[in-house]
Amino acid sequence: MGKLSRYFWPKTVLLFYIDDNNIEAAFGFIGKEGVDIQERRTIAQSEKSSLAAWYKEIVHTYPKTYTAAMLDTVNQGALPGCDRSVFMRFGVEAALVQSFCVDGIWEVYASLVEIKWFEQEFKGIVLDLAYSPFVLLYARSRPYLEETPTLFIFHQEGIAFVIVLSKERMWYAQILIIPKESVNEEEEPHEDISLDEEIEGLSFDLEEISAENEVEPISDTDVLSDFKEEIEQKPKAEVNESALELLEYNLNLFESLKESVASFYHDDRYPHEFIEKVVIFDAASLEQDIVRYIEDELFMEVSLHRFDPIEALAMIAAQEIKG
Amino acid sequence: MLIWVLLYLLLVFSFIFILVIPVVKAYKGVNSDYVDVKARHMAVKNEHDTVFERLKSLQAKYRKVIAAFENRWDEKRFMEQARKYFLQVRLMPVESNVSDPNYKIYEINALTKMESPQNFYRFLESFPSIPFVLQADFPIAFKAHGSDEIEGIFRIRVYEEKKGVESNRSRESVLNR
Amino acid sequence: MRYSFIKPKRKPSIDSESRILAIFLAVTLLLVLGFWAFMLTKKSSISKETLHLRQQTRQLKQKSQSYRAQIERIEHLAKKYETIATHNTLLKESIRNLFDLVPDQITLTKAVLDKGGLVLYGVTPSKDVYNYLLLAPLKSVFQRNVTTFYPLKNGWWRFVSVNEGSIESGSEVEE
Repeated sequence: MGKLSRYFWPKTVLLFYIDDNNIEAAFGFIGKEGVDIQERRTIAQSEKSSLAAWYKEIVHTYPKTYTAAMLDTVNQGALPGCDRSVFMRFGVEAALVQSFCVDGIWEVYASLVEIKWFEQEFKGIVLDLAYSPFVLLYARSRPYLEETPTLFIFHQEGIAFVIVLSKERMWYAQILIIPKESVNEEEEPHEDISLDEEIEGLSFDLEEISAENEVEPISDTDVLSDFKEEIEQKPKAEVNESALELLEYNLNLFESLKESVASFYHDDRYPHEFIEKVVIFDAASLEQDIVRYIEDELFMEVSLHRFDPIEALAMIAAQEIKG
Repeated sequence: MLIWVLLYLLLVFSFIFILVIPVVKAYKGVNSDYVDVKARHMAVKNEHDTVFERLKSLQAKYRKVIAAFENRWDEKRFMEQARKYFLQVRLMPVESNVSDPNYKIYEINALTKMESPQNFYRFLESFPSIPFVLQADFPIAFKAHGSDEIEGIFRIRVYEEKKGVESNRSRESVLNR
Repeated sequence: MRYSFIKPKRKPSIDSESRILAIFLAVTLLLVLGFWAFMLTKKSSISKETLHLRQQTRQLKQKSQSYRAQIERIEHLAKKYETIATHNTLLKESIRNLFDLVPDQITLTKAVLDKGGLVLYGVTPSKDVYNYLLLAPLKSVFQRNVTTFYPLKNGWWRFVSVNEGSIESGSEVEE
């Protein structure tokens, strides 16, 4: 019966998010059970227009098409608690951001200017819903919430969104940029974006990282400060070189994470509580290595899960469209 | 898209064929019946009006005649009239040998005494003003009694319309046959 | 609960093509149905009217029939009356004529009139007076005439004149 209703102006949705150099997009029907995905496409960033073209095609047949995207802008984040003072406490200019309270527990925000910019980037598409990655992570994490705080990570290639949640509250959130080579110096290996807004020098877009640099093997001892490289999407790395890169990357990720946890513990703005569990939702290709690192060194219980942002988008978008 | 157009056409045409065409046919049939019936009605009405007019005029024209036939024979009334013309009047019923299916007939012998035959003539001339249908007839006998008196005996026949044969009254009433 | 930074825009429930078609279809169907309904009511109203007219026609015909019957009756009555009146008049005239026939010299004592004839009793100064002045005209009226004379003391004659076979008298009351 549900399928039959597809012949009578059904509600449909176009979902997309940006991953590395590509736009992952999916089209599906909105039904009682959520979104029934019909087609997925991977579109290169350079061919953004083909996404708009696809959208036009869809709308022609299905005028009731909604679009939902994951906002990949830099100046966005999450703050613990919903009262007005959080902005001040964590140095976020409330006037410059769009923000709202999620489930009464935490405040999500993003730069107004950047939201507009994002909509402009995809001019051919009428954007209906824009989600913060934290919101997607939050939605995915909900089944795992406990009384005690758990650290959840949403990992994409080169970037990790970290949030500490329990059933009743949100404790801490941060965006981690994972460099592709090891860095020993403390030369701002990652952005602590929860501190400052709109500081030009510090903010950068993942999209602006130049693509297609040659991958060179880097040893552990090399120190590189400004040189940033892209590591190719690794296949199951049997080759030593790529295994090395992988190791490199995992270590960097681990380091960033460690620092992030440390800053959570030491920063007085955050309440103190021990984290005992870590749940990683991976949209890239992490393996058990990172699990071992964390377990061994941080003595936390770690679980690793696959994460499909499209499915997360589908779930919350369907709710919002139907409601 | 096309399928909707086809469906639409199908729907419209089916409606037209299933509903509209039969009803138009029916209407035409009914209408032509109506025209015929109306024409007939007009004709019948005209005839009715004509006949009615005629009846009215006849009723007006022959009011007295009709009344005279309808009145039940009343000797006393007659005598009142007759006495004007005679010195003496006496009526004697007689066996009637005349019969008529339409009228009830009274045979009467009138025994009168008059001054002159003029009275008799005047009397006969007065019949139209008497509310009965009277026929004077033979046998008639005149006898002179002295020079001033004539005895006159004559037959009078009174016609009365029989009720039940033509049971119409002179008033306009519809017969329920 | 809200999770998105931006609010979804309103989507058209039907694309404009379908909308136009739907409106078109609705209007067309409405017209067709309206026409059908209109025809139906007209048909039924005409049917009713036809029935009514038929009924009226029946009634009028009945009335006409009754009127005709009444007319016939009146005409009969009138005719009958006319006949009777004529008869009466004729009777009166013939009697008057008869008595006018009698000359002054002759005195009648009795007259008996009947369908068939006339019997006169009277007194006449002379036979000749009777014969020339009374019998002669009587002869022209009646076919058979028999007169009987009886002499009187004073020279006058008493007569009995029997006349029969009248030609002109309308004494038969026939229809």
